[in-house]
This record gives sequence, structure tokens and C-alpha cells, in this order.
Amino acid sequence: MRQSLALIVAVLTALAAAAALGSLLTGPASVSLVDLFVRRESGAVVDPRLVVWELRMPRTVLTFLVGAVLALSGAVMQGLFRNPLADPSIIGVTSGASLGASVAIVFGASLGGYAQWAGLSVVALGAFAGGLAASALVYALATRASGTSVMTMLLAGIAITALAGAINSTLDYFVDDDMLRRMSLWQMGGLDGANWARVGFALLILLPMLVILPAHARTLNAFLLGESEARHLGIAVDVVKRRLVVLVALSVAASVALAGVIAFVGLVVPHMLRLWVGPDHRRLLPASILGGGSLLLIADTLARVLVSPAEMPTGIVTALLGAPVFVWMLRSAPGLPR
Amino acid sequence: MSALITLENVGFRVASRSLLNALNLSIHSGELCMLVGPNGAGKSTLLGVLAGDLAPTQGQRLTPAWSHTAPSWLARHRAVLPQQSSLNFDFSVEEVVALSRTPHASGAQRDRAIVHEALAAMDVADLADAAYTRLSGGERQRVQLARVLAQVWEAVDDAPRLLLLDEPTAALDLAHQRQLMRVLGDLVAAAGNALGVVAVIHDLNLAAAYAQRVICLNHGQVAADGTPQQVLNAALVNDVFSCEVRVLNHPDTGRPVLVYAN
Repeated sequence: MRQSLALIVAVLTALAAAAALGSLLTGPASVSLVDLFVRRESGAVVDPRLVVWELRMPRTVLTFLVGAVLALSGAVMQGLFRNPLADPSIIGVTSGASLGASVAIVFGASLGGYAQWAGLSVVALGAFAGGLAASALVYALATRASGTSVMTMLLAGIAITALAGAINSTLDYFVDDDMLRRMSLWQMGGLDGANWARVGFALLILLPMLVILPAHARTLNAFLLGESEARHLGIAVDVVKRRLVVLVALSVAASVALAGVIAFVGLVVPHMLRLWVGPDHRRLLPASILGGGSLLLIADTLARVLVSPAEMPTGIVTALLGAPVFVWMLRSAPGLPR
Repeated sequence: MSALITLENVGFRVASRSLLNALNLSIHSGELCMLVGPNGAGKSTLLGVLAGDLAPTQGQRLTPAWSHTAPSWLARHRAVLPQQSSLNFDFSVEEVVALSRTPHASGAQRDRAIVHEALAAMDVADLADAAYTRLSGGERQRVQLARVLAQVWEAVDDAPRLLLLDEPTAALDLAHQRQLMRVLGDLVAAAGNALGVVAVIHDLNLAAAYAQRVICLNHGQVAADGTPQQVLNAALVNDVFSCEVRVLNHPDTGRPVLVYAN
């Protein structure tokens, strides 16, 4: 018998709450639980409440949302591609967003500087647009009159990722050191730019995904049987495929725009959770939301603690944590499809 | 018996190759029909056309008994077992079979009851909690069979149901081949003219023993169509399968039994 959804959600919610609290209370300025709610007369130069509410709270909320959406997108892509090694970046969205960010860094200065728009820099908007454009291209390449082939989509994704990477390297080669530094920092991913305006953008785009994508759980379960089997179970396969690709592209492009490239969360979190809750998406998708949010919160907290008072890019921490865990799973996990 | 699907002058071509050629036939509800023929005769293609997966490139496919075309409505009336399954995620056996109830709105309790009846019918009830990916080929086949059976297990309205099976006995041992044939016969009988079954079968003796109707395909055309006695004769088998056989009569059932001539 499998665990009930209630138990899974309860355990992971506790984990997420603990991770969020850890994120709120950790940092160069010391803050206690009491400071969250009560104004204290203290000798500190900076008001602890201000630190929590203006700096750490938006960062915590944003980190959770980005981690949740990345893991959820990964779980959806793995279901859609019937491949436990799929990743949200498989549709080219991540590399497209990186390229979009780079292009904005290089050419954005001449186009109104690094102006802000609704809390988002030109660079973030470039990333969002680049991610959407690349995934639209991948989808178009994989679509024929007879429908969209996920196998072709996978191959087109590899090609577009390679192409975007090459153009990115070309830009790297020609720009000055300052731009090069900004571009490579972007590709490492970080949540240090969090503010309430960005949280607003995240709530606008990412929060609906946390509701819409899990509504496709039964459809994704049928997809695991195979596409024609899903069709025989009454699912409009091509409609669903297009809808899910669009939703994941929006989600991942928005998350790259907000936090840069965060590696491995989308691949590893659903993978690990599947070992515990099984492949049923009615359990896996809610679990991925909570697990992905928790993992990124923990990684981001570590990123701030490890080299305090400075901080590391969060994307480096997720890759440093994620890659060994992934290798360990490949070697030892018993229930893993090979 | 009423016509579930009628094919009128149906042809199917891929590139320059003609897989089906000017087929005229009707599939009826209340009938256990078996499709036989040599490799490449067009059996799976015909099954695909019957399922609605492949649109005929010539002629037309009519479904006089089905007035709806919505995918979910069709899924409540027609189940298809493909030749191969690509499921490689660790669903339990029960979870795989429960996927069959996706298009239905019969309620969790009824769904669970049907899933358990189908599991028992295919003799996989004791594997209900086992991981599908760790089963043997024959066990997987029985789980997939339980899945498609559960999809059309009971009538949802007045419209007849259709079960299409591509080589359902391919991986099954002797006892389970026989069990499947009996389950199919019982389901058709119990449905009282509201269920039709079409199964692609390679074992001519299995078709001879259990089919009500045998359709023999060769080169994308119907070589013979009728009762087992009418279709499965030495001349046809020699002609279509290039295999010399003698046909005996089963002492108890009177159905044909094929043995090699030498």
C-alpha cells in the first residue's frame, strides 16, 4: 500500500515550514523568532523587523515559489515524456532564457539602461522572452500535420539548447569583463535580487501554475501508459501536450527571469519523491511543489551561510547538492526504472 | 446482433505500400471475433482502423451504433490492447488497472470493485500490490488485459461496447490463454448483445475452439470470413499460411482441430 496523500502533504508541509523559518532567521543580522512579530528596543543598527519583512520575507516567498514551480515542471515533463530523466530544460526554455538574459545584458544598456519594469530588470524580461521563444521554436520543430512527437521535441530541445549555448559563448567571447561577470553570475542563479515587486510577479505567474498543473494529474497518469493508450482512455493527447508545454515554458521562463538558472531541482526532486510516493501524479505533483520549495529554501539558506557574510549563487549550491544525490540514486535506489 | 462498425471499401496506404485493400466488413456486438492471418497481412492495421486510430486513406468507417464522437465518451465504450506496452514507471498492478477507469464517472467505490473483478478474471489479484515493472512478460500481459477489460467491464448506457485486442495471448501460458478465452466468451454472453470483441490471434486452434467468427486476412484483403468451421479448412490454411495441415473434428465440441500434415 502507498502512503496517503494527507500523510505526504503533512510531512512535506512541516519540512517546508521548517525550511522557511530557517530561511527567515538565518543571515548576517541576528533575528529571533520574537522579532518577527514584536518590536523590540535593541541596540542593533538595523531594525530586525525591517530585515525580516523587507529583505528575508520576500526572498523566502520567492525562493519557495521558484523551487516549487521548477520541481512541479520537472514532474510534469517527466510524465509527458514518459522519461524519469526529463527536466524542464528539455524543451529549450532554460538555455533560451539564459541567452535572452545575455542579450539583454549586452544590448540592454543602450536600450534605456538597466531600467526596472514592475520590479523586473530589462535582463529579467529578456530572460523571460528568450525562454518562451526557444520553447516555441522547439515545439514548432516537433510539430507536423500528424501531431507533435515528444521524441522529436526531445531532440529539437537538445539542438536548440546547443545553439543557444553557442550564441551565448560567442557573446561571452566579445563582451568586456564587467558584462562577462554579470552574464556568468546570471547563469549561476541566485535569489539575492528578491523584493516584494518580484514576489508580485511570481504570484501572478507562478502561483496559478501550482493550481493548474496539478489539475492534470490523472491525464499524466494515463500518459505514462503511452500516448495511444492515453488516447484510448479518452484524452485529447495533442491538446494536452500543447497546453502542458506552454504552461511549463511560462513557468520555467518566469522562474529563470526571477532567479537565474537553478540547476537540478526540476530533475532531482520529482525523482526522489517518486521513490517515496510512487509514480501517481495525484500524489507526486503536490509532493513536488512542497519538496521543491523546501529544497530550494534549504539550498538558498546554505548559500547565505557557507561563505557568510558574503553569499554564493544558489544555483551552484543546488548543483553541488543535487548532482551527488542524483548519482547516489542512480547507483543504489531500488525502485528506479533503468 | 447489430453492426458496431462497418467498413465500406476501406483501404489504407502508407507511402506507396498498400496495407489494407478494399475491405468490406461489419463488426457486430454480441460476437467474439478473431482475426487471423500471416505476418504482415494487415491485422494490426485493421485493428487500428477499427479503433479509430488510423483514418482510412480510401473508403469509409461507419459507427452506426455510436452517436457520440467525444474522446471520453468513446473511451467509455471502446478499449484497445496494443501489441506492446511501454510503461516503465513503478505503478503497482492495481494502479495500472485502475487507470482504465479514467474516463468513467462511476465513483471510487464502484471503480475499485470493477478493478478487483478484472484482476481476479485475469488471475493477477494476488499481484495487486506488486510493482508492474518487476513482473514477467506474461504477467504484464495479464495486467494490461485486466486494464482493458475493466475499461469496458459494464454498460454505461444503451450504446454497445467494443473490445479490441492485438495478440492478447502472445505472452500467455496454456492455462492463461484458455482462461482469457473463457473470460471473453463469458463477458460477451453476459453483456447480452451489448459487447463485441475483436482479437488478433496467431494460434489457429485457439481461434477454432473459442471464436464465434473468424476473419482471415491475407495481403490486406479478406481471404475468408465466417464460423471457424467455414474458415479454418485445409485448403485455406495451405493457401494463406503456406502450411500443410489436416483438419480433425473435436470429439466433444465438433469444432475444427488443426494438426500438421506431416
